This record gives sequence, structure tokens and C-alpha cells, in this order.
Amino acid sequence: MHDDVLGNMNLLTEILLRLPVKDALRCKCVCKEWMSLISNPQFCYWHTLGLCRKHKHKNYPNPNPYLYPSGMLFQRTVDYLRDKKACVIPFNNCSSRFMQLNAHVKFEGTLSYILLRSCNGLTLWDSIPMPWSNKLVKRCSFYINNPSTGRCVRIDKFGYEYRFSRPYLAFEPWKSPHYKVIFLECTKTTPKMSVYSSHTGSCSKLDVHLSFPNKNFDPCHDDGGVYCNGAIHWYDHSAYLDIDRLCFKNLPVLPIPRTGLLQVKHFGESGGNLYLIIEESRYRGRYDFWELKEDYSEWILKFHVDRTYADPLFANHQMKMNKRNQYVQFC
Amino acid sequence: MGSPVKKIMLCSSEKEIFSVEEQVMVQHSVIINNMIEDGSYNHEESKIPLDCVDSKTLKKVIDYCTHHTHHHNDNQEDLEAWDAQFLNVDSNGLYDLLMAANYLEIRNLLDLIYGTIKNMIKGKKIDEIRRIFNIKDHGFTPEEEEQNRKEYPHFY
Repeated sequence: MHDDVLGNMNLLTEILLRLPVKDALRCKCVCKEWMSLISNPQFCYWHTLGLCRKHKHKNYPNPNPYLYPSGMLFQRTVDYLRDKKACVIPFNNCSSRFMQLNAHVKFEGTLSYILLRSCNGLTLWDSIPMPWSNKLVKRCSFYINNPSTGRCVRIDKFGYEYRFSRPYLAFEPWKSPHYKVIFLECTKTTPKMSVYSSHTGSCSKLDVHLSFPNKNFDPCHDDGGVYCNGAIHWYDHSAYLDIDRLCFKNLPVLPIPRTGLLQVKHFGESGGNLYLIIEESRYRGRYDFWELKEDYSEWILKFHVDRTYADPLFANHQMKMNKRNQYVQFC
Repeated sequence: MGSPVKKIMLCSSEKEIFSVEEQVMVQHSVIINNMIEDGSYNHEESKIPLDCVDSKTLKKVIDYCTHHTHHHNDNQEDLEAWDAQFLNVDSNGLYDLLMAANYLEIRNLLDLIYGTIKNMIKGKKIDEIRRIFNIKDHGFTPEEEEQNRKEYPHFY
């Protein structure tokens, strides 16, 4: 009877699709048949879709509102100078400490690798020369890394006039198994866009004619932009750029007064929702998580996280890392 | 009062005949639902031959469908407890059930069994999985196997 099940690829696929990523990867070593089944790109896609369906989307209401965001991903200065890694602090389980991500690439010792973005399980890394190295910048690239599988793709910077552009990682597995990197490049008056697609492995320029929502707005010198659901959002400017329609629109503001007593700790995306983390000075160490409603009508207070419980490491480095809101990401 | 409950006949591989409420099977089994809908089942004479399902398994399948039809309003915990008790069978019984549920296309039973087998794999070492599924020939060359064991010692 066992042979019937194992010999029936449909049944076996159904079973293996239900496994968590780690177990599915481990099962590659069970036998040749399982190996080829699990290595099949179609299997990977179905598996990702299954996970999304379980976690959330549209017709499948999220059974556990605390599933997203599941943790915080950040990188310490020593990590990108020395080890090329980042840390994950899970919110749900205090006892499980942080784990480390490694970009499995051939590292150049003279470059430092900085985690720029994360989007639904993929991470985007930037490489820049070490402060003390006199190496040419020519070797620098962007890397797309999947921490669960260790797979890494290199994107050459120089086709995309990096100096004036900011990359945004767009990966929505419930829509497509392919990701995009959107490069927003700014000349003095209008932004220009190029899009790298993992489907074609190439980059294409988009002709856009946009006017900025206000004069102070300069997306290229602002790292706070966040990609989510087909748009790039800037909380500081209360604006977002709809990429399909190519126009700027306004973001709602928080329903609490914006004073010096409030500090925006992080503005980011997780599982298709936008989140804003706020610390109020009267509740030191408590982070309020605000979520933007899907129809963009208002912000809703989701939950609080106490920073001090998480990890001494978190407490020590969080503040420093958050200065430019650059390295903290949700996962 | 209401019309008498309509029954259908199911015939196991041992030619044993089971009489079941039509509604129960129609609700759960896609195949039987199709047979009734397209009129290929005649209530007077025909019985549905299930040549690859033995009596013991068929009885369990009917149990499952009957319980889930009559108790679908029970609270989730009770149903889950009942399901857990229902699937408390040895691995051969589980595979028989899986094949039967697959043949009759009983989706919730399939989901339940897939989930159970998944839990048998989850968190297990490779050697254990091979033992559970009785995989003797893994198809890797000795070199590949050795390479895997060296590279991922914690898998084994």
C-alpha cells in the first residue's frame, strides 16, 4: 500500500506541499523521486502559494492576526562590516532568540554587504566598498537572496545608473512567482523608473512623466520609501506612487497628534500590509504597531510590542540602527 | 411526514453491500454526487461497485461521512477530537483510507489524511522518514548519499 501512495505523484505532491519550507527542503534527501519533485519550480510555486493562502489573502481571511508581522529583521553595523549577516527577532516567541541570515554569495573582502529591503521572504542586499578600501566601485552589485533556500541572484548596478536611483523590491507570491526590482531614479524635475524582472532576467526602462506632490519631495534622497501592493509609499511625505497608474496619491495620517513626543521607529511592509511603528515618549520601550487599511482609508492600531523583553541585543542596537530607518525590516 | 430517507448501495471489493443515506455520500463524495446527478445510478437496481476499497475501509469512510453530515454543527473542538480518534489507525489503515478517499474524491477526508501524514514527516530525520515510508531504494549513488550526509549531517 505504501508503494501506491509513494508511486502516486499527485498524492505525494499533496502531502509534501503541506510541509513547512524547512521540512520540504530536508525531504529532498529522502530519495531521488522526492528530490526531483521538490526541486521542480512548479512545486516551489505551489508551495509558496499554499503558504500565502494559509497566512492570508483576500478570499482567505487571516486566521491569526498576529501572524504578520512575525518578527523584525535588522542588521548591525559590525555585521555588515564583518560578517554579512542580519538578525531576526521573532515577536511571538520570546524564548527563540534571533537567528542569522547569510547571503550565500562569493563575498569580496573589500566590500560590505548591506541589507536594504525585505519583501515576503526575499531580501535585497547592496554591496558598497569598505570605508577604508580604495577598490573601484565597479565590483558592486545588488543581490537578491532567499534566506530559506540560500539562493542568490546578482544584479549588476551599473546598467541602472545606480548613483541616482533607489531600488525597491517587489515580490508578491500570491500574484506571481516572479519578483521585480523597481529602480526609481530622479533627475531634477521628474522621476524615471526602470524595472528589473526575474521572469526575463533583464531590466526595462519606463517612460514616465510625473510631477512631485510637493517641492521638498525627493524620493532619491529619502530611504524611507516602502514598496507594498503595487505602490511605493513615503510616510514622511504622506504620499505614495501608484506604479500601475503612474501617479502620486496621498496617504492618510495617523489619528493621533503628530508631536515631538511621537517617534516613528519604522515604516515598512509585511505580508501585503503597510505598518508604522511608533514610540510615544510617555511609554518608553513600548512600540505601537499601526496597520494601514487595505482601502487606504485609515491607520488602525494593531498591537504593542515591548522592546525590552525581546533581546538585550535588540535593546542596545535598535536605537542606533533606526536612526535612518534603513536597516530594520519586517519578515 | 417527510419522504423516507433515500438510500444508495455501495459494494466493497469483497462484494459486501453497504446501504448508506444518499445525502451523506452526495455531500461528501464528488464521484457519487456526479453519478447521482447525471442519472447513471438507478435507485431500484444498481449498486456502486468500489473494487479497490475493502469492507473495513469502506465502513470507516461511511462512518466519517455520516458523522460529518449529522454533526457538522458541532463545535470545532469536538469535531477535531472525533477526527483524531477516527484516524487513530495503523499506517496500513491510513494508506487504505487515503486511497479510498482519493478514489471517491472526499475532499475533507483527504485534507485530514494529508495533514496527518504531513505530521508524520514534519521534524523527522531522513532515516526515520525512510523507515516510516518503507523506502529501501533511495536511488542516490553511494557517492551522492555520502556527499549529502557530509553536507547536512543534522538531516540524518
